Amino acid sequence: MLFIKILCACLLTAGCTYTASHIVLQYKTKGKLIGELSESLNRMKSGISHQYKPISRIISELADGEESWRTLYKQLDGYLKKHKEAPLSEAFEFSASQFAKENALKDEDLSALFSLGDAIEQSDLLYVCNSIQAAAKELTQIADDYNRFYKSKAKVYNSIGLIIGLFSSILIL
Amino acid sequence: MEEIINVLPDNIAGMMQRIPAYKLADIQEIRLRINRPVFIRVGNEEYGLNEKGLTKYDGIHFTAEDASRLWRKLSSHSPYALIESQKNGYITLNGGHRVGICGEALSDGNGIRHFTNITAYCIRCAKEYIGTSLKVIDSLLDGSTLYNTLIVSPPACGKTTLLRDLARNLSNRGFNTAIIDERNELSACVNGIPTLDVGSRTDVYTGCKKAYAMESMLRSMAPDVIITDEISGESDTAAITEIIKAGITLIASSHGNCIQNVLDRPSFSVIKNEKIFQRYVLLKNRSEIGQIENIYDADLNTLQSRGVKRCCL
Repeated sequence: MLFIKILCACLLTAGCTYTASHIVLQYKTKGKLIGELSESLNRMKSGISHQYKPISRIISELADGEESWRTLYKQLDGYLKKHKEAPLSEAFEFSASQFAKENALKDEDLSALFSLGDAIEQSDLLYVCNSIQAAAKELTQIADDYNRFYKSKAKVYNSIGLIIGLFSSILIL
Repeated sequence: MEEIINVLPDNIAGMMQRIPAYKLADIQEIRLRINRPVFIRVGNEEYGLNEKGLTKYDGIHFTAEDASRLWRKLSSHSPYALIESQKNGYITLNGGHRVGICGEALSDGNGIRHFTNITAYCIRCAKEYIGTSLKVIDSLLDGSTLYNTLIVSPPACGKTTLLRDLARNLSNRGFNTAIIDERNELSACVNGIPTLDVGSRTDVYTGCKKAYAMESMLRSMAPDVIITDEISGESDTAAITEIIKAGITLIASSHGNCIQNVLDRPSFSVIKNEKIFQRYVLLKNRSEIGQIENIYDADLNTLQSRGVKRCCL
């Protein structure tokens, strides 16, 4: 009987610690995802400013591969192929919104992408590049906020998880 | 024509598809102006457009929304990638069709930066008429020697079509031919490969200023003849003079109603004084598009007369 109680106490402690760390780990994952999206915008800017590539081609190139952030560009690519006359702003809004839902992100996290479509459909190359750069910077900022939150709270959450687990274990024992 | 229909807004493209194939193939140009009727020129006739296809009456109007959709499709949502085209005032489609644009432009000290509002489009359909050069080629050849030739006509009278067929014809007769195709209208290159028949010994240089391309072609491709479209300005005429002095034959075209008027332009003074061209071909749209009005020699005496003995007399 004591052996079972000890086993339950250990499992409970481990479970609580894992749950607490999992809660806080989400922030790290979100930060990483948004940070990579920001990096993809830098690649977009590079394709536009150095090679004058059309945005549809850049989106197709960014959509290749399996990384999770690429689903945004796959959706964009699909939307633009289906709605050739639709404004780019509509395509970005739709795809960013879907991407936010799929990855449990807040719409505000990707607000920089929502307004990017309008900016890209301008003739002024400098304006287009600056807008993409500003959006990338905004995303980096959000990613940093998530990472900072993770770093500051990770130990606290883990400790709380451990303490709850230990107290529960004591009660059981 | 498919390339043009693909870029038109869906509602207009749908109406275009109602036009019988034989008329569709004969379309010369499509004019689209915001809040004005759509005009389509077929041969020498002008039509409107409605749900049934071409019409002489009650044609639809081209709206601001149509213009936005057309611009999105033309630019593939990327107007920034068409800065050079905007500066030049036209965009070349696959197939060599040219879309002229007009509207509110933003300019700086160096000319137009880009358009802020495009309010009118003129879509000119490229045509490939094999054999049009047969009517003139004998007048441009002296045995195996080819004369430097300038083709002159008002817009939309078939200069480009004649130049393209001359390139094909001369190339197939054994001349190493170089086409300087700044606007990609002569050869309609896709990924640098001509989609129209320009002959088996023809090299094509696209998307580059004529003056630079001529110099480069001369150095790199050793052509017998250089063919280029719509010369204008002093940089073009200076490059032409250089090319001809280097022993290369040149066939070019220029806008104008009359040879003398073209030669009287200040930028053509060297060409006129040094009698650079030995042959002039004048095209007009009288009974048919691209009709050869006259062929003149270097002194503007007529070779192939339609009753006129000397140019502009």
